[in-house]
Amino acid sequence: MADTPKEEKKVHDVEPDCEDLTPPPDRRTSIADLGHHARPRPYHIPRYVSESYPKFKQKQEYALRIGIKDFEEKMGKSTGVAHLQLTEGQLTVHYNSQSKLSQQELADLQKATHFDKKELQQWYKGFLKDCPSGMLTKSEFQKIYKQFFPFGDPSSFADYVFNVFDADKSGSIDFKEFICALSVTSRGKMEDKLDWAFQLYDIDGDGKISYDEMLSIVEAIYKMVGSMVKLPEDEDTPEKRVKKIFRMMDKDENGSLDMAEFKEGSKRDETIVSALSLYDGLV
Amino acid sequence: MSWNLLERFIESEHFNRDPSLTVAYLARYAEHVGIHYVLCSKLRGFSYEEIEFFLPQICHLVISIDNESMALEEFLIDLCEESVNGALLTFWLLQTYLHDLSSQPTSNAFQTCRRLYNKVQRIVFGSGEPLRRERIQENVLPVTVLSSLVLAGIGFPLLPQHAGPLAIAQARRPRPIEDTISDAVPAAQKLGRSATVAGTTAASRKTRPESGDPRDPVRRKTRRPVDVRTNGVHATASQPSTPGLAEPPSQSRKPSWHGQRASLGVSKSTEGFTSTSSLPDQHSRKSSNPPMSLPAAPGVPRRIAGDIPRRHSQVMRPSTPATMSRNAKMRALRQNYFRSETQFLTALEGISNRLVSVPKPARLSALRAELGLIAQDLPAEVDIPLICPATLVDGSASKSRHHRIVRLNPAEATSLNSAEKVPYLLMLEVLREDFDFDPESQQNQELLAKILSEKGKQKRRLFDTTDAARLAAITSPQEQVPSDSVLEPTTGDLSSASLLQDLEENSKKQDSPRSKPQQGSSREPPRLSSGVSTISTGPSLGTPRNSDGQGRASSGTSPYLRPQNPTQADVSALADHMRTASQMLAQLELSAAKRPKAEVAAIKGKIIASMQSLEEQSFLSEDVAQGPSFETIMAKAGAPPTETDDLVESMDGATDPKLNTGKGADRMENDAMTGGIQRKGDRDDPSAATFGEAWEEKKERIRRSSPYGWIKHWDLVSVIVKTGADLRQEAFACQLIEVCSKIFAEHDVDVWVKNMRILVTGETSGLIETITNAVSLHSLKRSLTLASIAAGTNPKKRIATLVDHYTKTFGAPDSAAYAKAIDCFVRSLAAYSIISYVLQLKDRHNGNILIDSYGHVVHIDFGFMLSNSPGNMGFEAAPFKLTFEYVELLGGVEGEAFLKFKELMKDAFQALRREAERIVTMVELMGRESKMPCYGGGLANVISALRARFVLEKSKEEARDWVEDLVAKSVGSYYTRLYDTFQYRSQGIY
Repeated sequence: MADTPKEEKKVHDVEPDCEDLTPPPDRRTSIADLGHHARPRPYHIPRYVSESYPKFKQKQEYALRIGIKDFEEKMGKSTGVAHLQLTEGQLTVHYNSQSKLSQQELADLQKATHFDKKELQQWYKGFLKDCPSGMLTKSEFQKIYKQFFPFGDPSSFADYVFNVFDADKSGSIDFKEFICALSVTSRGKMEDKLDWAFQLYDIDGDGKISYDEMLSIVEAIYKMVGSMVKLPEDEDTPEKRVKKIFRMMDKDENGSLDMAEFKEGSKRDETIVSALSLYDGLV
Repeated sequence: MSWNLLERFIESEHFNRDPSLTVAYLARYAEHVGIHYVLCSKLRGFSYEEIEFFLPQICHLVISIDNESMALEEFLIDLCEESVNGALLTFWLLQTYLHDLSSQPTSNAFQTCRRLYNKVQRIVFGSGEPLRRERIQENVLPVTVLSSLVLAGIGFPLLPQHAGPLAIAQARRPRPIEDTISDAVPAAQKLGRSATVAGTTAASRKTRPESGDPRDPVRRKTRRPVDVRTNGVHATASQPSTPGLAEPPSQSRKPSWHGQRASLGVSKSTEGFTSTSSLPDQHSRKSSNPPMSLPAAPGVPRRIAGDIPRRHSQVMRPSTPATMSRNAKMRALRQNYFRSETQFLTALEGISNRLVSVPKPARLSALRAELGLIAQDLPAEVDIPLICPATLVDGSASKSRHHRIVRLNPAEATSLNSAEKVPYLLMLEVLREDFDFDPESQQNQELLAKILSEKGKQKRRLFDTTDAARLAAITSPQEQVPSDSVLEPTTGDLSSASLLQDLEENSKKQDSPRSKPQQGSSREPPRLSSGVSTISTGPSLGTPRNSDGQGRASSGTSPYLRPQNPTQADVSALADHMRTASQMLAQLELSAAKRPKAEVAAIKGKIIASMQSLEEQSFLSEDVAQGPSFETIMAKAGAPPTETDDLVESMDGATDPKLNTGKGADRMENDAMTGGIQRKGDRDDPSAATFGEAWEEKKERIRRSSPYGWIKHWDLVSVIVKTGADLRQEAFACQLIEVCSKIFAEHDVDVWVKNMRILVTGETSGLIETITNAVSLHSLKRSLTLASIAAGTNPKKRIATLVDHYTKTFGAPDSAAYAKAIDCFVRSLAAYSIISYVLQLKDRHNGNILIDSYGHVVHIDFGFMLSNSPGNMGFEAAPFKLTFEYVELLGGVEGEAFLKFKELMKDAFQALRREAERIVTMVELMGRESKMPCYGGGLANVISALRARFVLEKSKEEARDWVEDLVAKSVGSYYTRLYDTFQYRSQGIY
């Protein structure tokens, strides 16, 4: 069990389709180790020329097969690997995710997004390439953010965002969730974007954004950015920024924003509007 | 893992003093996309000049580092879009890398290089669409971040502004090849594009063999390395650009020729007038290989999404300047500059390449004739980047004012002596800050109108020294040039053909009366077969029909007889004569074995003499228009045939023949040309050579003779055009020396270093800044020695010393001028000594060490440093060169000057030690995957040895003692003397 994560990492470099993987030297030993888990390793290895060699060879192969089966099960649970195949010194990894979307899936996604079939297939391919397991886990999500914001602490912001992406709260983002998010943010109308964004700020999902909710999100963003952005004086703390937002949006001054206030206020602010159309036309 | 420390360091003042640390950290943190991005945004904070200095490093980084980050690539592209010179320099640098990597077309480095090259090429030659709106690829992870930035936009709109560009850049990152292969076809299906795409690529594939098309600047440029490689041996005057003409006119060729014309026409009409490039196949190139004769890479078709529709939207745009946007105008102006500039440099380099095959005595004449052709197109929108850099208005790279080259006087150019290559020295007259890219200025408005009016016509290639270009220029564009006449010789060829026959006959009559003319012609074929395959005029000599009436008939329509442009006709005719003569010489060499030696020499002498007199007549006399024909000169010069070897001798004057041989004599001649000493004066009385003023005098003389001389901003720039050698290491050495010089200045060490600039324009070509007021130590000593021998004051033939030179040039040792010169000597010697030690500059013979008019020492020629040395013999084992002669000049080891020298060296070493990392990282950075010979010892060894030379483990005091040791080891080192003796004995270098 201990070496499973190590293996997993290697598998990620492999093609999603049935590609051959030439095992590196250490890899062979790890397979042998797995064989060792299943059966005690033969203490006596006969010489190649000896009579007992074919029998030994047979046993060894059997052990190896059991080992691989065992490994395969473990992998199957944590990643999208369907089965492993060993042929003449090569280990082939088969993933259970299909390399293409089915017609039904395509039709459904086409309805739900602003993409056509061609684009959906294309993105699906890219998705499998970057997330061979067919889903994007929370830890991977965290990792990207850490890469993009090396001088800050993006963990809590990444958590909040992950929850918005993970529509079915399954703990991972699948292709459908991903493509819907992409569709809204890149090709959606302003209304749709704001609808979707509302979910980020409405942490408890009660349909209202309280002052504290807004503050948590803004604090998370500030933490992520660190000192890399020069802040204007009236926004140099999360509190100041949140107060400013509420001054601008909270028309009834009840200390929380409903959807209407949120949308109206955002649309009035040009900087927000331009931030929301960050990559319009690029996808 | 927290990066707080790094962040604080990056923000510190020390880090932001100059880009060197940023560049070094880009290499160190290549794996971290975010840090890379932060560093690149730091780069953007530096001035253009600072970035330009590190451009070789940045380009090397982009290519040698294989990482996820797109930040540096984006930075480079932005730089190229902003700065015209940045774009050109990057373009050339990438070209050298493409050449290096062409053997491994599947490597990531090659893929990156090609991708970047294509982008830069689009900026330089393309239709000028900005690249900014490039679409996002299927990069899921960055796109996820991008989406979340949109979410965060409400809470904190500054976040998308700040992080958006990073995420977008990463999202644009091209997918690995395996992905895109299968994507390419479906992508094209939309809009029914597949047909057009396939059509054009097919067409481009078909036209590829024709890539000698002279109207296509990119093709020509990128083809050049191939030219050099394949034709290096027997390329002659007009060869490289007209391979099609050189081949026998076969029927099967014609269709493809016409095919190309047709495709030219098609793309012309669809290209739209706003497109500022005349590249006919710009589109197909984008989706296929870079236009090099490289092995085709797998996975070539790379889709550039959204590209094609936009191109079509351009088609109908009207073409008057008034309707163009400001940006479009600016692009048009820039592209005009790019075109002119690249064509100018290609032409200059082409000459150097072609001169290789011209016999030495005739080179100067041939050079001047060819330069005459180039000079016709001046003034134009051309300058010399890097060596004579443009002025930036308000420090903004987008607003550069360039120093226009207005005139090039062929008579001032000289070919320099070199082993196998033929570099040459060029005097370029420039007007400072004479052109820019401001579309509102009167000058540019006119230029724009001109550019636009020329659109759609078959634009003549500027600075073209080929026959085909002249033909194309003069025949009107509507008139379809019959392929027959394209292949027909021009008048020049005809006259030369008959000339050769005359010559043949003459020589036969003179020297071998037994052979009749007919026999002579029957003897021709073996000789001509070589001509046919190498030179364009070959067929005219070889195929009989060309020399009969048919050929003559076509000459009736020949451009040269048209009166419209007399000067051009004359210069062209002259160039033709020269080329013919060179070809004849080359052929003579080839056939020399079969002929009597005396006969060969006689013919050779005659040809050379005629070339020289022809050149004199046309360039040195005032009335160029009345230039005598080649024939008359041949007739006149016919009398005394000179032995060619004698010619060489006579050029250098009657000096001790033993001392006159080899490199030494060459070096001296070169010095005389670059250093501005008048050779005559030098020979008769070297002490009269006041070389500092010679440059000023020369400048004044040229100024007076120039029609532009009266203009206030007139200036003269002297450069050396060099081809056939990779100048990148040389440029790198100059860069390292400049870094040292900056370090000295920062630490207030009062030493002197000459900062030299080298412009690399290809893997085997470039321009070198000339040190106008300096002469090599070798030449000084040699001329002094020879003079004193001649004057009878030196009966023992003692070799002159530096002290002799300083006293003769600057006055008695107790004079103020002498003291000042010695001070200059001390300060420069200290700097160069420590630099020589640290960088292990080798091959330090006296031919590579100059003394300038103030008394400074200047080192040149850095073919050997760090780990390589001449022959890798380790001859020069001394830490640096410190001969007895130097010590003598410094007043002996106890002398005041010598003590000062040591003090300065210690200070300089201390300064370098404090900044050692800067030098080490720079060397380390460039050593990654480097092909430069100075890394021959292996990067790790080079770096550890370099670090060790800084003796960083020693204290400040110990380091001073260390320098003391170095000096002691170097003083009159046995090895230095050995090396100098070796050079003297073997090469005649003093």
